[in-house]
Amino acid sequence: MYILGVTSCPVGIAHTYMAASNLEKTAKKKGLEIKIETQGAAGVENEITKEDLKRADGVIIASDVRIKNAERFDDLPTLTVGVSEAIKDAEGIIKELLEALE
Amino acid sequence: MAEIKRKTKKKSQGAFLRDSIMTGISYMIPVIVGAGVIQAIAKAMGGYDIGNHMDQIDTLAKAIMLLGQNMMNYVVPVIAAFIAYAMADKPGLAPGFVMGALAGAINTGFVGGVVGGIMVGYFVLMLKKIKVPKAIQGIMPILVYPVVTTLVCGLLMYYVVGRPISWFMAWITSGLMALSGGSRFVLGAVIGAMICLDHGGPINKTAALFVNGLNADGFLIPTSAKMCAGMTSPLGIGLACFIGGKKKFTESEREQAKSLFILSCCYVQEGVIPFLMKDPVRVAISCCTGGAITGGLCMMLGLESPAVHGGAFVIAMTSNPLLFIGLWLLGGCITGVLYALLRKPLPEGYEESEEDIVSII
Repeated sequence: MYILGVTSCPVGIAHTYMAASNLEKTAKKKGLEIKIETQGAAGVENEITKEDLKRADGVIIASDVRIKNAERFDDLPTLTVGVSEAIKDAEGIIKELLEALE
Repeated sequence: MAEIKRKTKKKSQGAFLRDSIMTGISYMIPVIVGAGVIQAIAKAMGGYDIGNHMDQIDTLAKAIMLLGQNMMNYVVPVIAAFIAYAMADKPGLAPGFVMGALAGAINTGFVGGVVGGIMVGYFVLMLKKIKVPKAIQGIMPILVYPVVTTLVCGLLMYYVVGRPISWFMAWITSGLMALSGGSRFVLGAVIGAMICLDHGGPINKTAALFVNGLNADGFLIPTSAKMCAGMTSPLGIGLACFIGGKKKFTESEREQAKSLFILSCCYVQEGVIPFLMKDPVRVAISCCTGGAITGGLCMMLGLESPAVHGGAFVIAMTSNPLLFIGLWLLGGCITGVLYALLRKPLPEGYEESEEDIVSII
């Protein structure tokens, strides 16, 4: 199982990275492979590549703004949530994605 | 996109609008912070009223002021353009910039820019739905969209929508000018309490949007209320951890408290969120009390801050740095003492488990 994610928030200095690290930690605990791209004030970091997209099973977008290059995920099952939800309940989101994938 | 339908929530039109406005704000923030700080540097070099006698001098301070003023002129165009961009993608940008510039020309300010951006967004979305023959498809985005959108939305704004907005802005402006000491305190206290309620959540963002809008339109006093109040929360909770000591706070919380002091200086309130999540009511009460008192006093005493963000690094640029520091510490102490008192002691023989540690940044 390989999950991709994008996090982003309006100011882009705290929530973006908190959401990313929470999702990463939770996925690791569940033994899932995950890669989170952050779109913060510094622009795109840890960018998702074409190879990632080919291997991925599902996508989580945790954002309060319109994210860049959303069309990349057109062919993948995508779950869109608010950024604060990923900070508070990363476990629930990953669970919801897994359930939807089955 | 193969959208996964959520069982509980669905994306409404309201959420679409809110996300778009937030996108606009996220592009606007570097512009408004940069412009505010640069102008403040110029004021520090060439006197606080440098803006009034720009044509009589030719110094480095003037050049810097010129940069800052020009950057400030882009604040409203950028938010208008990027709201339209978030809604309608690339074709929204050009007309969006024009709507922002128009807002400056017809005195509708920040509100005019936001409304203009939304108008452009919806109009372009509508235009995109029109089916045209293949032959002219290519010229739609480079010729038809920018010309038609700008003409229609621009004229609509100039003759119709802009009128009530400019009256509204004039009303707000004169209202703020005429506020007496007591009502200024109330307004500042409301701003401070909202800022300190959810630390970067929707209520905080609403208050910040209002204050930043006023800042873009040249009202600098509410900005100090917002920033100073926001800085009290991490300071206060950090202090509470030391006042409360081992009996009330866990090892990891007291460890986090150290970073809270640094976050307070940087005006990053988000460090309080882990505390807020574990103990929502008490943290919110303490933070709001400290924030409201600081915010209210900032407004009442007329403390101006040209920079909307930057924390301790821009204190020197406020109209009265010592007062700012005083109010910051005052609010922090109120929040700190209050939370140290309100907080329940840890249960006897409390052992920390891995799960309790919510890491931050």
